[in-house]
Amino acid sequence: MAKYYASEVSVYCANEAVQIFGGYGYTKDFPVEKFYRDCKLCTIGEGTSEIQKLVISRAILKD
Amino acid sequence: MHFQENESVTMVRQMVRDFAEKHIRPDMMVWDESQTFPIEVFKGLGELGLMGVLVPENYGGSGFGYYEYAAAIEELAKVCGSVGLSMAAHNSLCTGHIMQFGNEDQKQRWLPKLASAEWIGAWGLTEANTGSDALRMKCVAHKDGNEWVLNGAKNWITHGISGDIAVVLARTGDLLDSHGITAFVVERGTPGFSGGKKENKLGMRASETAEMIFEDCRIPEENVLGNIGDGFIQAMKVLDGGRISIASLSLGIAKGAYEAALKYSKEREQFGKPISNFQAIAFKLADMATKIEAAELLIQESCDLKTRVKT
Ligand SMILES: Cc1cc2nc3c(=O)[nH]c(=O)nc-3n(C[C@H](O)[C@H](O)[C@H](O)COP(=O)(O)OP(=O)(O)OC[C@H]3O[C@@H](n4cnc5c(N)ncnc54)[C@H](O)[C@@H]3O)c2cc1C
Ligand SMILES: Cc1cc2nc3c(=O)[nH]c(=O)nc-3n(C[C@H](O)[C@H](O)[C@H](O)COP(=O)(O)OP(=O)(O)OC[C@H]3O[C@@H](n4cnc5c(N)ncnc54)[C@H](O)[C@@H]3O)c2cc1C
Repeated sequence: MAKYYASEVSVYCANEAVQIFGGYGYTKDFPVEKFYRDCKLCTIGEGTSEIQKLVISRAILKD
Repeated sequence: MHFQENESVTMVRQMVRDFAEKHIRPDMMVWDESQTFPIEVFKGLGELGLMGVLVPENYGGSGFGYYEYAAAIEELAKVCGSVGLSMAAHNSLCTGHIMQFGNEDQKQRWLPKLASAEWIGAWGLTEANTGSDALRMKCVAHKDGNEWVLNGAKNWITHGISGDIAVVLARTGDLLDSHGITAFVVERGTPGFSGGKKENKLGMRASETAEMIFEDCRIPEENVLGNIGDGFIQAMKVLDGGRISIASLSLGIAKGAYEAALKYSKEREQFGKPISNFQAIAFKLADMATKIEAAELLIQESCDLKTRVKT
């Protein structure tokens, strides 16, 4: 749950941060564009969000 | 987070922050643009004990627990996700697999080199056609005398080219048999083992992601980790621990983005006032802060579980 949730939060926050920066967030002069690109790995690597949900739902549905 | 943090966690945090400001922030955009894997940074992290965070001291590691480990990754990721990802893969996957499933000889042989970052570690499960569905892997190992002969390729491997040592999962039984996969340790320089294509990625560009190719690569029996056929089960356990590291990586990125946005929103003026004065912006910050807090609590809980039910 921690991996699934935290990775989705990172994508959410990076997206909102770029929005708050406006046009400047869309450039390499500020760090948020890098966060925006980097964060996406988190919902994919070592088990995608869908696979995490598969694991979580299996655990709550067993017995 | 408002829990009282353990002293050693605070110390690790501060040490990583100082290191990142000095050795990562100044050059990270250059590495990002050119997709350079900054190996010297990892040697530096090795000197700080951060390449063997969870490795017991008698094998040359720091002997820390998951709280320190999570804090170290988070602080790296606040600055540069790529370095955080590579550090996490080295520690959790390659080193973690040998630490959890290696025998005494294997641990003595490899852990000190990994913990000091003399050797960079890779871990190969994924293949071009098998990501989530890892059980369908094609990479095979056949027994020949007292050696194993490995054939196939692994893709998307962190440190696939630059790694000095790799834990490789290969089929030793029937297709789709969860007891048909075995873990092997392959050292760089082994004939038949080479690096292949390096991916050109959207992000995490300073973390090398590449192919590993095995062509009649002969591996001695003593490089098998655990029992024949246990590799897949081992890999799933290794990933269980690894997920705390990816969660921490995520948290660091989220905090880095949030902190930058918070600061900017107080400085940037439009319509005669800081944009943080607009509710549309303030509510974004409130949502970010709340989600970050919740993610952090989940990670703390995972660290607690991992610490209490230590295997
Ligand atoms: C690729 C690109 C091409 C462009 N091309 C052109 C062009 O050809 N010509 C041109 O003139 N401009 C151009 N622009 C500029 C673009 O129009 C501005 O970036 C845009 O108007 C936003 O302004 P800003 O970036 O200064 O953000 P800001 O105005 O500083 O906004 C920052 C954040 O604050 C929010 N905000 C601001 N005011 C309020 C408010 N009152 N209430 C609530 N929220 C608020 C914004 O929604 C945003 O989230 C371009 C920008 C980019 C990125
Ligand atoms: C930067 C980076 C570093 C990596 N490092 C390593 C490494 O060091 N070692 C290693 O072994 N691997 C590594 N990987 C590979 C990584 O683990 C895989 O990318 C990941 O497991 C997903 O597999 P895939 O990319 O093949 O996607 P697929 O499995 O092809 O998935 C594609 C999409 O289908 C969805 N999907 C798949 N199956 C199901 C299902 N049953 N139900 C619902 N949805 C489903 C997925 O969620 C995803 O959205 C790395 C990847 C990246 C991007």
